[in-house]
Amino acid sequence: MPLFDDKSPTDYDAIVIGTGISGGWAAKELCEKGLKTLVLERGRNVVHIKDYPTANDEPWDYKHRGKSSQEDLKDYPKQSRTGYTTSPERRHFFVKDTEHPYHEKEGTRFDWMRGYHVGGRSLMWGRQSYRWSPMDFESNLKDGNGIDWPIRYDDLKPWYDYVENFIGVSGSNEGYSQLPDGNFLPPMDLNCVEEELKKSIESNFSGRNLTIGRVAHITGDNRIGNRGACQSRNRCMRGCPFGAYFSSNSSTLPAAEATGNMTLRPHSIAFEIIYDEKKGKAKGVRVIDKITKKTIDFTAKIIFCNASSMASTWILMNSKSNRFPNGMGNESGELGHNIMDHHFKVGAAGEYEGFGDKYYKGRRPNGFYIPRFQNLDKQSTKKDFVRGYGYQGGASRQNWMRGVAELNFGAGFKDSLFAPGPWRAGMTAFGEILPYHDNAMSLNYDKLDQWGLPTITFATTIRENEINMRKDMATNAAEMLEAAGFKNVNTFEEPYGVGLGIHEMGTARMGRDPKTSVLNKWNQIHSVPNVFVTDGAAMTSAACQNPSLTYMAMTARAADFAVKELKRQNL
Amino acid sequence: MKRRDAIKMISIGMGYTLSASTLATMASSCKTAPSITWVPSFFSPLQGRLMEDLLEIMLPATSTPGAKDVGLAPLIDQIVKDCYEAKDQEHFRLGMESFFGQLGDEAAQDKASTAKLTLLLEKHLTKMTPEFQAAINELLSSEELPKLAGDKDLYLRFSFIKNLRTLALSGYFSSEEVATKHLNYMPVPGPYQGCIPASDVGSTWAL
Repeated sequence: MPLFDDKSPTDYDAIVIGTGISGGWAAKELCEKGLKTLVLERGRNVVHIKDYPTANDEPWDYKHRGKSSQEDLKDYPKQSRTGYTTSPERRHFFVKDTEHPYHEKEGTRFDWMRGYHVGGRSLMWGRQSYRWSPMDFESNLKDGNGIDWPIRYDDLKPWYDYVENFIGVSGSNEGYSQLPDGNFLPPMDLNCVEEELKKSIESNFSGRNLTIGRVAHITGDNRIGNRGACQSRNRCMRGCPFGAYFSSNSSTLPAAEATGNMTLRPHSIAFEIIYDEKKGKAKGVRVIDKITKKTIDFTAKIIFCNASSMASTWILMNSKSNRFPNGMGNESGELGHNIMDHHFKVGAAGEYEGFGDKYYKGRRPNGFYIPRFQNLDKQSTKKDFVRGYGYQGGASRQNWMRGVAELNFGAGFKDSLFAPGPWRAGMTAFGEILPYHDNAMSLNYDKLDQWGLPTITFATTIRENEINMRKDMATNAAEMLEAAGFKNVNTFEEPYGVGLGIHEMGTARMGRDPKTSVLNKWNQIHSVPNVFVTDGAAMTSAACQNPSLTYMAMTARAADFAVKELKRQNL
Repeated sequence: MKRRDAIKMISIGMGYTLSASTLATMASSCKTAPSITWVPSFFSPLQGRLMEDLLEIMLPATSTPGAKDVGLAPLIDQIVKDCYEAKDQEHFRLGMESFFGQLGDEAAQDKASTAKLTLLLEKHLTKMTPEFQAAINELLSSEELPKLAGDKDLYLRFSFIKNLRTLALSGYFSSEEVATKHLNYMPVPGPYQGCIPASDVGSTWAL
């Protein structure tokens, strides 16, 4: 990567703040359209493949077989809330809470899981890639929660096409109205028990379907650039040596680099967008260099803020001027509000008798998906909640872990555990959270970070609509498994904190009216036209699908618009 | 049966069933065991040896390796020492002491027999009456230590055995020897195949 050095200029055509899933796209699009672009990243550089130190580690390579020691966890009291992010093979991609603290209003919880390095969470994301449907862009208007989206599915459709073609999404076209088809690479297999479950659901429950998960993995005989097909190792979150899944590191940043127009600057903490009172627009970005500790101003004609939902909003809130005493673009008072995520940790699991003579090969980094089926039409309208949820799940044969539940020991017991056990399947629902004004973040000037910058205090909670929805999520999961003949079906509901879905969004929402929103239909700040926010902060509602594909499509669309506007000399 | 009643029954020796053969082996064979070749950091040297013996009874060497072959006792010693929270660590220690305490003087004299350790495992696992097992499950479902001394002791001892079995199984099957040579180890499987004859695979996938 062409890294910033002493000879690099401080003035550019464009600045992109952040290198995660949307920042990478902004960098690629702006560079490919000929703009000299400075790409700022607050963390260290991570070079594709070279900087994936644990990609080939086995459990026995670790002293505690993948468990974290209490000493290791001291730095990660919040990041460890997921239960999976801080294990030794992944921990290096997550921030230390001790170095990057945030706060929670008493009695509330917010789980802010993140990594500060080139590539951001595009390295550790779940890779599930679903389009939103026309219904999702209309729901706020229809049921009156939040404000209306300024765009519709048709505005984004060509950009979904464009993004899918570049990142590679494996999946199956099904013609579901609530989950639009896409340009897919060959779908991954469902296994035999998942096929049975699909048959049962589709014949026993009107309006419900099961399809293989749509994931940003290359499949079949395909290659994209230097990226090869998925090898079913399921170690994606460590970085993929085959480049089989999409990340900024494997895909967009190399594309941006190939243009010769990108300058990448790691260790650069962007903390303020500088406002030019005379010109009525932003003139640049103020940065602390983590190495030299110096503050540097970079200037550009346009700025893409892609620091992640919460961090982009933090930068805007911290960008105060005479014109914007409450943060850049915050005339509406909505900046930092309406935090959404997907609530989950509810579902059911059970055992399947049969198919003892069948097995599978590979550790498929994917599962099945049951698209939303509630509140789609009159018949599926629920009395006690609006919107809906989808399920993600999978079936597999049990391994030795089944021995934990058997109260047994000795030679026969041990030797029996080498054979594959019975099939089990489980599913977890991911549900929509409504945009509540009071689910908010604020800047905390009493507790500054090590750079002397304000930290964030969050105040978020799920409410009646989500709590009612959770009951339905558990019940329906169990009913579908039972109808398919599963035995010993149990529902589960574990504690959920907003953010735990790592789909946090909504803090600088798009809208039609500057009085109630921060961004317009092109992701431009209403009152600062040369600043674009195209990460999760822009979201006006949350739907229930994994959001990254939508962030990417929005970014490509906004970049196209920004460059056209720049050429028309409107920016 | 109410939990209290079930617990009363074990205290008078009725919570589990003993076979004649176990009782017979129990009466024989007390020998001084060899000491261990590793230095425990959480266990005492005596506990380390008892653990090694106990784990080998749980997962003995057959045509596949045993607990000792894969260094299970030293691994568990390390995990409990480094990975357990202080409270859980203390509970584990108290449960272990209570469990081995049932060996009486034999443990202290470093000559607990395999038979007696086997008997103890049976008592805590395979030979529990369903009523007693249900009572124990109810007891363990609480996050808090019971207040009554008898309940507390049972809670600690049965939690210990539960945790130890989990540690033992995960440590055993995640060992390089077992995973790469006795399970089906395929670090780079290639495209996922969803439905193939189990006979083409054989043992469970290692990863």
